[in-house]
Amino acid sequence: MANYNSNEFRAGLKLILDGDPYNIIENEFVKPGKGQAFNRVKLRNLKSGRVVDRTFKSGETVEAADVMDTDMQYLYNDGEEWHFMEPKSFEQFAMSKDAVGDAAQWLKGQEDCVVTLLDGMPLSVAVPNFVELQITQTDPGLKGDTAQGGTKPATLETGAIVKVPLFVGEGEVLRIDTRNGEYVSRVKE
Amino acid sequence: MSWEPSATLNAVQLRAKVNAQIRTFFHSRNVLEVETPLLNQYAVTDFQIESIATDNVKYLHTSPEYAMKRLLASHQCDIYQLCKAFRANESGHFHNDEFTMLEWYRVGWTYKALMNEVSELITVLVSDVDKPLSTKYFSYIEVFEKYTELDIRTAGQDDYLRVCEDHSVNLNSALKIDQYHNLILDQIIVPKFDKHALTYVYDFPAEQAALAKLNKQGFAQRFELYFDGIELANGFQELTDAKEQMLRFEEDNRKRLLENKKAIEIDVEFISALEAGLPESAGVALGVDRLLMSILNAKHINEVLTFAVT
Repeated sequence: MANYNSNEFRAGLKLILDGDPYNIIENEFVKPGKGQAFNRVKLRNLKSGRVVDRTFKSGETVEAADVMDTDMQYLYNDGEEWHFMEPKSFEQFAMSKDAVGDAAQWLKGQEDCVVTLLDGMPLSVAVPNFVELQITQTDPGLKGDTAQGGTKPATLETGAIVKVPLFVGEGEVLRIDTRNGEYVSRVKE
Repeated sequence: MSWEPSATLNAVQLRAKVNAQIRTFFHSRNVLEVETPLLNQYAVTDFQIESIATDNVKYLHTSPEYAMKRLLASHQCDIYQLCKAFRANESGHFHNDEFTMLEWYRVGWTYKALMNEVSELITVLVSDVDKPLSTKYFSYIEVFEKYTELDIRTAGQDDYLRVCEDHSVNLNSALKIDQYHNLILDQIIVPKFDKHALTYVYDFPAEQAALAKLNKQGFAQRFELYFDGIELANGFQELTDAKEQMLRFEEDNRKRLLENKKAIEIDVEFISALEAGLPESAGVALGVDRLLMSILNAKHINEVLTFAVT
């Protein structure tokens, strides 16, 4: 099992702490002139997304995480697992509902995603920043209220609910920013 | 582009001005400027500091301390040096493996008198008006009592761990008491200091005596100066006892071996100088780059180095 010495710490390095994979966001070297050196590190848990602080003695070693980001296409889900395919090898990977998390609400099929593999197993998935999805249900907007300000909820074909302007109607295709879940524009077919 | 300097012209000009002011300050006080070798036969034994070795197995000094004390033993007069110092594996916002150090020694002075002179120098360097900066003094015991409510004479590992947790400092592994002292002072106490005052912490626990004399209570007659949230200077009532110094170097090497670091050949020429007779004196080293950072309000040491070498 490969290890990293704290001297090698830098942003982007991936390691295992308490059994979970983490990504280093920030690493600060601190040291009193004649004292023990430390690394004060900010890390993101790659499973939960939670950010934690950890202080290491300089020279401590930590297990390296064998983590790889791989381009994959989303295929389908069977309600329990979400299935992805590596387009060159056609190798398929199944991911649990928990691991897919909030990303599930933007996936309808054939999206190009980045799947993070830990020891060859899918750990998390990053969906494209923008997706195009059709509205399956929304209340009609009130006439004459098209100017500005007003929004209403709309349910998309994947089940996601987003706020849309009042003039947008059922059956229309929307461009959505998946990073904040916000409506961007209508897509003309 | 990578050929361009990492420091602005303003920062380069400030360094030139500060260097000139330092030389004027010491010249007017009859302190002699000296130059000692950067490349030396012996490395430092201090188990928290690593020297950088060259191909022909000489070592870049980590501070000019040993050579300057050999000059003191021989010439018995006040001296200062403005030079580069080198420490392996030190790199961060306030650390660079090559940095500029101002070190000076006052024969017959106490470390407390030297603290005043440090304040006088910094007042000259950081302000153009004749307004002295305010100064604060805490013993190591007092500073822990005031900011952590711990009595370092009685506190145990659990007490230090609790202070770390209370301040959201989450440790990856347990520390020894002296490591807790380093971490808590540096990361929890110092950030609470008044950034505009010169704050001195003095009389350190004996484990951190380094090359300072101990007082009757067993604390090291050592001080550190903090300014603008960072450690700026470190001074000693210099240890003059050659035997005690030799024991400390041997203790350094014992600690090195315990931490799987290699032992360092002891600088016998330095020990011989102490045997010949180091005058009673106080000495201090000041980080010039950090002082420049403070004046310029810089966030990273690279902003005051002409070229950041990575």
